[in-house]
Amino acid sequence: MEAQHREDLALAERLAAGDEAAATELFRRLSGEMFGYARKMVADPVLAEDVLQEAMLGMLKSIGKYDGRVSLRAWGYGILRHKVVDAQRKRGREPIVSGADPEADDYRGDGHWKDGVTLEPWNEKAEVVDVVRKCMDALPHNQREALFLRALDGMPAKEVAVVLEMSYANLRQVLHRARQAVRRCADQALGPQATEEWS
Amino acid sequence: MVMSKFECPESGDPLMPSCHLVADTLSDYLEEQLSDADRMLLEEHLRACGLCMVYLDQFRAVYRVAGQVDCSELPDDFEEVMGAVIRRWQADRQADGKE
Repeated sequence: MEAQHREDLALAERLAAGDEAAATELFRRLSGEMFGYARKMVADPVLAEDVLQEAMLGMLKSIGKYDGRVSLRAWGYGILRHKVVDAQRKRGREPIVSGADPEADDYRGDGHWKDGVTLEPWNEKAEVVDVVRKCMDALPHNQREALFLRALDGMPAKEVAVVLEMSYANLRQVLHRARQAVRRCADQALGPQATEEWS
Repeated sequence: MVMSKFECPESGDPLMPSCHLVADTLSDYLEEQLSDADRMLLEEHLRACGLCMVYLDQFRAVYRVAGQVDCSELPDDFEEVMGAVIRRWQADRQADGKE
């Protein structure tokens, strides 16, 4: 059994016994990056804080259901993402699911680029990072959450799939579609047709 | 502003992946999930196709930036907020007869 797994199970046991110090330890370990996730998923910082509180309370109250099959961190993200969805529903925003290839129209029937498609290298442009982040923020909910969770240090893709309640194969597809959509969005912003909004 | 003037190869080789297939496979390529045979075919295509090479460079930039988490700082009062969460938890435990 890995050390982190043993630590998770020991912490869960203390939490199940009502240990307040264990709750503080849990919050210190997870709340920073979880707040980052909540901020990414809901635009309003106050709502993000509310969502995180509800998720933390949810973790404490349902700790008896934690079975150690995934890390405590991944299990916590599973709860947090449900709280995010609940908050968005209350605000009348349903999560958007999109699995279509955003670039399918760029290719001919035989799979080669259509005539007239041009791409410009970005390597000389200082604003690439800002533009890519802005494009990530514009992604559909499920693609944004997949990209963010996959970027978390030490969260294996197979655990991300468990958090998102999808198969590993489906996760790979969602991640790829998200990266394609961001590339396309950024190319439009950085290319010769870019509008002033991006400059 | 330099536009790519390369065009993709149309060799007629049935084993050579199309540009669309190459683009659809780049996440697996960057995450080293392709078999050696598929990786070699994809790289052979990239060497011959300037447009796909620019696409790869752009995709790699997205992959790199998207892999960096920009964590927001917790609000100043967060310790107090978490204290309140713990008190709610303990009150619920007492109500449930666990204390």
